[in-house]
Amino acid sequence: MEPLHPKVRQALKRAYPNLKDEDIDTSEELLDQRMHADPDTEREKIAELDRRRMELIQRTMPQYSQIVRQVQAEMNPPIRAKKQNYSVEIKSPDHKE
Amino acid sequence: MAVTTGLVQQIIWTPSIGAACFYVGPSMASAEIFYIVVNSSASEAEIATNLNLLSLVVKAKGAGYPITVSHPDNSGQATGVSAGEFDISPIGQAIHNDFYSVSGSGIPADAVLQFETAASIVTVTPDLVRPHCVFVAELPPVIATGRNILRLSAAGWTSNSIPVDVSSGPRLVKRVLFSGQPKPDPYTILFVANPGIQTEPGALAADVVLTDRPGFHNAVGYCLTNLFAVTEDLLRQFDNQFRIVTVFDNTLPATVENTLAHEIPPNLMETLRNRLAPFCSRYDEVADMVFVMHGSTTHDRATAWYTSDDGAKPSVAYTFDGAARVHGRFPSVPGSAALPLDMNQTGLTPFHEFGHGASDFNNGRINDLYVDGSPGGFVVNKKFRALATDPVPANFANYDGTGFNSDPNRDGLGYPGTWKSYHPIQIDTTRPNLMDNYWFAFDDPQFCRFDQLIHSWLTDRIMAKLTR
Repeated sequence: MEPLHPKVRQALKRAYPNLKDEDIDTSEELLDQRMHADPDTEREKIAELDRRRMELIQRTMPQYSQIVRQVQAEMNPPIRAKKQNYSVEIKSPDHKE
Repeated sequence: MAVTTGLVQQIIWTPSIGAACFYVGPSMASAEIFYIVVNSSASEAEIATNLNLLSLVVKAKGAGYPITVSHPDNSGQATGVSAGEFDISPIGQAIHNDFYSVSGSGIPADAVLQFETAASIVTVTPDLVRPHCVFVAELPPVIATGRNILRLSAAGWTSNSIPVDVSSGPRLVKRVLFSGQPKPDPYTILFVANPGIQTEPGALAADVVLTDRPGFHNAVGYCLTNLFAVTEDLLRQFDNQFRIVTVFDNTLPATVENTLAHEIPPNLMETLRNRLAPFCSRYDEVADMVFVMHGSTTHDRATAWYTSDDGAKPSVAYTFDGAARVHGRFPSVPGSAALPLDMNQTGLTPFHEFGHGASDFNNGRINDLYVDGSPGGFVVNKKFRALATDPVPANFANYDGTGFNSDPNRDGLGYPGTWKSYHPIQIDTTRPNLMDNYWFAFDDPQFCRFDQLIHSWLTDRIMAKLTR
């Protein structure tokens, strides 16, 4: 899974002064365990890991999603503002090929 | 015997003599006239040969390809016709705002595409240039519709010029960006615009990606440059052998079989991996790796699922720390990653997720290095000490007879005091491992590389599939 950007971690700790790095790390550990479980044969394990992780997030950083999105919005360059990738040369009427 | 080369300007059937006359040259005014006799006075073999010659002349005229006509010095009777080879080849139709690729060999890195008509020349800078291919994420609509002459051009180099017909639409549902090895089972990477999302509560919702075709093209373009044009060279070793395909089918409803992504709270998206192979087969593709591109802006943290190799099919044996292992040649479930259109394009997310997805549930997983984790399953790139205070062992692993050292300092980021995990030594010891938190790179995350073991192991694993 995509690693947590350091600016997200900073923003979370700024928003929640009592939040510890260990809380964020534990959340990431639970997510890591979830992504190693087989989604076909270990559904109960995945559900339990999701439940524990969300309980931790709700308790320690309830506005997690909003803070992540705010950081992303500040950080992401505008991906659609693509530089024009072409140029056009109009041939003069007496152009010879 | 003489030969004349040029474009076919006109073909005239002359029934009175049972011959087809055709003009060859740069223009009608300066063309030479030739003829092919197909009347019944000739032998059956001669008629068949001449019909084939005539067929080639007709096709060359339609395509705008030059031909070479062999004929006696003093006669216009064609005894042979050939169409020359070109050093580039367009892949699929040229359609405004659609993907467009041109294959070739030895294409310089600064190559551009030039579309020429009688009135103008449009020069297009490709999104990706490789020696075997150039790729444009969206063909600019300023290119004139109808017949154009296309060439690739770079400093001191120009390809052959070839005729292509440009249309304004519709864009294709399935697009082959590169055909890969000419064999039944090329290694295939497929990018699909996800039709449906299974939400956190379990409902099925249409994915807005199907209403954002420009966004899909932009994201696929970014993924391709991420996989093939950053510092890490793993995939550049053999990218002229990959088949690369896109599917964007906005006719698909968000039914169960079309729902390829699932929200994970609070902000992640995962692929529904078991639906991918059946979905791909509907488009006549067997994928090794599927990138599920989605439009969610609430669940936009990317994740990946490992491949599941097909254990009933052939494999390549190797040893890892003395244990017998295999690289499967065929997947039963492709590797996959769920990537949002709005992903931060300054990082390495597509390549990082490819690293997970190209590894295997049973035959070796490549895991994230930015969490400590815990033992379980066969993990290629992470091991654990008994105690966090134990020193990191000098030797990480022996892969197929070659020893790989450990990284004593975790990419220079340092191992947190409570961590028991440790990792293989990097290729670039100045930047984080591509499977670690590449956002910590001191300069540019896209300079990060895999470690030495992953690079070697994934090279062999992909080769096992390329050589099936």
